[in-house]
Amino acid sequence: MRNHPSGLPFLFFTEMWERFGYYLMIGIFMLYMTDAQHGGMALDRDVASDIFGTFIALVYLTPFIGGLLADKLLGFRRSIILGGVLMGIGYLMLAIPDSPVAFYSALGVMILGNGFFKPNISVLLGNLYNEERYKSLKDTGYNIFYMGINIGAFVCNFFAAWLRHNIGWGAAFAAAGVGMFIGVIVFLVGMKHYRHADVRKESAAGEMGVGRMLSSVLLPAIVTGIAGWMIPGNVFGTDSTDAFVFGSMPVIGFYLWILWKAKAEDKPRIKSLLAIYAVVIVFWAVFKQNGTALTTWAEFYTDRTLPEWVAAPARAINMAQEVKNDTSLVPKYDSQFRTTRDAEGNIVKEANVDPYFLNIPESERPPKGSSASLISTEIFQSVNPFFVVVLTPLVIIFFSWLRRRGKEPTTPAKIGWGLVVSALSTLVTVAAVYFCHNGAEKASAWWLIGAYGVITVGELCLSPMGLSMVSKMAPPHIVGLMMGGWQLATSLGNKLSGVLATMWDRYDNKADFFWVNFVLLTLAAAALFLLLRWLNRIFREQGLS
Amino acid sequence: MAKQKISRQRSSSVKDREEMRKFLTILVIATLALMILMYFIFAG
Repeated sequence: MRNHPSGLPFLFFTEMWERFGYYLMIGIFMLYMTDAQHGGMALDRDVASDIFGTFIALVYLTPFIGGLLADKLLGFRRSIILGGVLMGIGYLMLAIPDSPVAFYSALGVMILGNGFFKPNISVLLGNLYNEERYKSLKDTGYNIFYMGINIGAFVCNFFAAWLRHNIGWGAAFAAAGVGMFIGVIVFLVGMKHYRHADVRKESAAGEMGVGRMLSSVLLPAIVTGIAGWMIPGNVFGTDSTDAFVFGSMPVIGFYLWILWKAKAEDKPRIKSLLAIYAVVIVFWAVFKQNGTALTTWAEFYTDRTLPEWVAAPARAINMAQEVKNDTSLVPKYDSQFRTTRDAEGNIVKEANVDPYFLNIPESERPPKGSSASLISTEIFQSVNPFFVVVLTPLVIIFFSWLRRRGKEPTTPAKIGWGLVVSALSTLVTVAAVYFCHNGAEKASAWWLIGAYGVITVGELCLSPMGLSMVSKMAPPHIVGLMMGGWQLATSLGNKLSGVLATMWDRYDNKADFFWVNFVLLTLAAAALFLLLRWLNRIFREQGLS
Repeated sequence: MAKQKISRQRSSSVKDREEMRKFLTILVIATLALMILMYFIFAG
C-alpha cells in the first residue's frame, strides 16, 4: 500500500461503506416489500419483483448522466459527496414506515444519488493513478478497491440480519444510511489527497456535448418513457416495464444511428460491441435474480437451520433468527407460498405455525413451544461476494495457466464460457427443485450456495473485463458513449431480471422457472459462439485477442 | 519562474478550498432542511 497514492485508503473505505449501505438495502429489499408478518409492506411477490427490477435498472442507468454532469459541470469530488448524501438520505427515508410516498421518494433519491456517486469514484481513483510513478500500479489499485466493494457487500448482510430481527426493518435501513454517511465523512477527511486528481476531461474532437446528448437521447427517452407509462392497459405486463421498454427505444435507436453514421473502419468494432451487449443483457437478467427469485427460494424453500456449533454462538449475540414452533395468526400461504387476499385486498390470515415450518414434517420440527435457530435469509446474499474474493485468484491462475500453454480463450470466448457456466448454475437450482419435490420439503442450503458458487465463476469470466474491453474496442471519440452502452445493457438486463422474477408465482413447478433461465442463457451462449469467429477476427485486428 | 508557479498553485488551492467550503455549506443546509421537512411531513 505504501507505493500507492495516499488517496487510495480513503477511496477504499468510502467505497466499502457505500457498498455496505447499498447491498444492505438490496439484501433485504425484497424481503421487506413482501413481508406480511413483521411490519413489512405486504406487497404481492410479482409487484415487489417489478419494483425491485425497475429500481436496479434505474440505478445502473443514472451513472451515465451522473458521469456526464461530473465531467462537464460539477467535478468528481462534488458529485461523489452529493451522490453519497443523496443515497444516505434515501436509505433513511426508506426507514420511514407505512408511507408509500416516503418509500417511492426514497427510491428516487437513491437512484439519483447512485448516478452521481458510482461512476465518479472509479474515475477519481483512475485519475490518482495517471501520475507517471503510479501508472504501473493501476490494475493493483483497482483490485484493492474491488476488495473494498466485496468486503462491504459481504459484511452488510450480517448487520441487516441482526438489526431487523432485534429492532425492526427501519433500523436496518437506517444502518445503510449511517454506513453511507460514514463513507462520505471518510471521503471528506481524505479530501486533500485527491484534490489534484479532480481534473475534468478535455472534450475530444467529434465528442458529443452535454446539450446535444440531452436533447437527442435523454429527452426523447424521458418523453417516450412517460408515454409508455401513461398508455391505457399494459403492452409488456406492467406500467413500469412499458415505460422502460418505450424509454429504451430512442436510446437503442441512438446507438444504431451511431453505427449507421460511423466511418467504415469503425463499424466492425461498434457492431462487435453491440453484439456483446445484446448477449450480456441475458446474463444480468439471470444473475440479478439473486435479490428476487433466489431470495424467495432461500426464504421458503431452503433449510436454513443452523448447525448447533454455529447456532450456540449465534444465539449468544442474537444473530440467529429464532422461529418458535407454536400457533399464531400468520398470513395464509398455499403450497407454493403464495399469499391470498380477501375481497378488500387484504392478506388473509389464519391461526397456524410460522410459514417457515409449512414444508417441514411435524416430526422434524422443534418441540411445540420451542424455537428453531435459523440463518437469516439475506445472509445468503453474502455468498456471492465471498466467492468473488475466494475465486478471483483461482480464475486468474487458471487463465494464466492456459495462457502459458497458448490456450487462453479470447475475450469473446471467455464471455461465451461465462454464459455457459452461468447456465450450469441454473441446472443446480433445477436439481434442487427436483430433490426437494418442488418445495414439498426444504432443500439443503448447499444447493443455493452451490448455485451461487457456479454463477460467480460465470460472473468472473464475463464481468470484470467488461469496461476495460469496451474502452479498448470503442473508437476513441465515442469511448464514453460505448461505456454508457455497457451500462445500458446492464440496466436492461436488470429490468429483465425483475420481469422474469414477476413470473415466479405463475409457475406451479419451480423447476420450469429455472429451466426458462437455463434456456435463455444457453441461447445467448449459442448466439455468441456462432459469432465467435467474426468477433475474434475483429478483436484480433484491434490487438485484443 | 518557480516562485510564480508555486504562488499560482497556492492561490488555485485556496480558491478550490473556498469553493468546496461553499458547496459543503449549501449541501449541509439543504440536507438539514430536507430532514426537518421530512420530519414534519411523515412524523408530524
